Amino acid sequence: MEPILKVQHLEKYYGKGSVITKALDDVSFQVEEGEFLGIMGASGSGKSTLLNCVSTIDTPTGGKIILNGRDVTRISDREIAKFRRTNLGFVFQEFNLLDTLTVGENIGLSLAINHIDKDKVAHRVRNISEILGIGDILDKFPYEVSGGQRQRCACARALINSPSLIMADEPTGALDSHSSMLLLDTLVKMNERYRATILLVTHDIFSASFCSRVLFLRDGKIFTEIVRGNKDRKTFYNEIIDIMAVLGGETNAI
Amino acid sequence: MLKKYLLDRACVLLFFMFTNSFAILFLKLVGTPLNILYLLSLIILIVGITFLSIGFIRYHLKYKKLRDIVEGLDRRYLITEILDRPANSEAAFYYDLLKSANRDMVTELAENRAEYLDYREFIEEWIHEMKTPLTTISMLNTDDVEYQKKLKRQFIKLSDLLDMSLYYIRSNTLEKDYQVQKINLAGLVHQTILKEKDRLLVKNIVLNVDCDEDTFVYADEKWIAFILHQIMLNAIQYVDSRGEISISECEDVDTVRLMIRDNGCGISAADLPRVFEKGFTGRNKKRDKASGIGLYLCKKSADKMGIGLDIKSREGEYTEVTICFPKGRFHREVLD
Repeated sequence: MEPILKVQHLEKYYGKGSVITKALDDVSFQVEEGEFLGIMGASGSGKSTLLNCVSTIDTPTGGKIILNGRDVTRISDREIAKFRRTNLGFVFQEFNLLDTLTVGENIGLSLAINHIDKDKVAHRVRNISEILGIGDILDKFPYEVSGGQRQRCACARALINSPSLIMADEPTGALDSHSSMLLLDTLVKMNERYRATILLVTHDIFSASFCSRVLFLRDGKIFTEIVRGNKDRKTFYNEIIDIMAVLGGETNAI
Repeated sequence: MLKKYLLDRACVLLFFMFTNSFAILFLKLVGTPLNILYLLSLIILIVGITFLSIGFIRYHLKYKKLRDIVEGLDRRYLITEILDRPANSEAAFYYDLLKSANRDMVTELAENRAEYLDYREFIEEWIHEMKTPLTTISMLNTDDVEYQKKLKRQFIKLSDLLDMSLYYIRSNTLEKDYQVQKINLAGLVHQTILKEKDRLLVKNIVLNVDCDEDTFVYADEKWIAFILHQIMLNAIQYVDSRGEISISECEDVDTVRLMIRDNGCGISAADLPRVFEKGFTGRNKKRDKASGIGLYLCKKSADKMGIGLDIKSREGEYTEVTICFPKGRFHREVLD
């Protein structure tokens, strides 16, 4: 089967004045459908740049990003918003929910923009929010609920139009450990129940240990990757720690 | 510059001149006093010139900035990564075109590089694979001593050729496996001689070695051994039976030089400047079997390591190759 996402020879340079920095250096990898892929690396390793390129927010200097058989670097500006809306789901560190809409409305927003029937929207919103454990707060406003709930609401919003790829950029960054745990469970649930393909960018080993595969970036290059396989989360966690130690990442675990 | 600027705006300028003249003519026809018309023309002129001047200064500054950025860039195709997308729609259009063209180019470059590395890896692997059966063949025993000797000679030739291919592949990325060590020059010379003792014996070559036991140089031993071996092979190849090869060394303030001199057929003055070229074999009959890679490779790697390689010769008399090691104080201090 064709992988959902194929990244080939991705390169990205940043520059100011006459100084140029290489943020991504010949990065190639694939993501199969239903995979929960983690991308780890210290700050400045290029992981956010990578995510921005894949999510079409930033344009790469070179290389191909093929999502569902389409090279996203070649999509015109006119089509890009629609492409993003139908193919990609986002979960950010700041939840980016609209405070003037209720939680339920926030979740159903992208469907409403795509002119989908009201009853259908309501039905799907209820379905998803129940699975993610936020079914009883649909009528509240984002500022009335906790951070963890808000983040799960953002997950529901990312999931609702069944995108090909859900991208999460440090989603646990602003959460306490209990809410983080709940959110990661939610992501795993999304991955297992809906076969959602998730790309999780993080520098937190705990978050990464929930993934089915983890890529490590260093200085814009893929350093190595490890697959969870049948290992339990704890073993996988320790493996990640070992690699981070070699990588010299932001960890004081050792 | 000013001319270009005005020419670019010729259409708009002509239009304004035309409409203004038309308006003034119209005002004159309806009976506006002449002094008011003069005042009006003056105002229009001043406003127009101010406007154009400001525009020109901005235009000039923008282009100067662009040119400065491009000139400071190492790889100019990255220009689009440095510039902001221009606000002007026409410029933005070209910017987008340039960016997408560059993207394709960078992608293709990366694909080619990957392909090249893949190919290289394969060849390297393949050469290593070849060595095992070759060694096995060389160890097969027969009672026929003559036959065994011939076999051994061909085996050595083949493994030298394989080594050369490996060094050729690695020479492109020499800096990656380059390790500066303290090398005993006399030791290295003896190693090389030992390696070629069979060939030296067969040709009855007289060897004069004059190397100080305490001379050390700082370089990558593998590569220096390779260069020395290639030069020795050449000397043995072109010297006559009972010929002479002398290896000597001389040291001065900032260099250590190693000279390998043979009294063989020499190289003609016409060929001499080209011996380091890739694939150059010369017109000498004896060189028919030469590949034209050996010296080229020596020179290329020596250049990359900052080591001098020089050749002197007179046809029919002698050939002398000099390897010149720089004596950096830094290396001495760090490695001693």
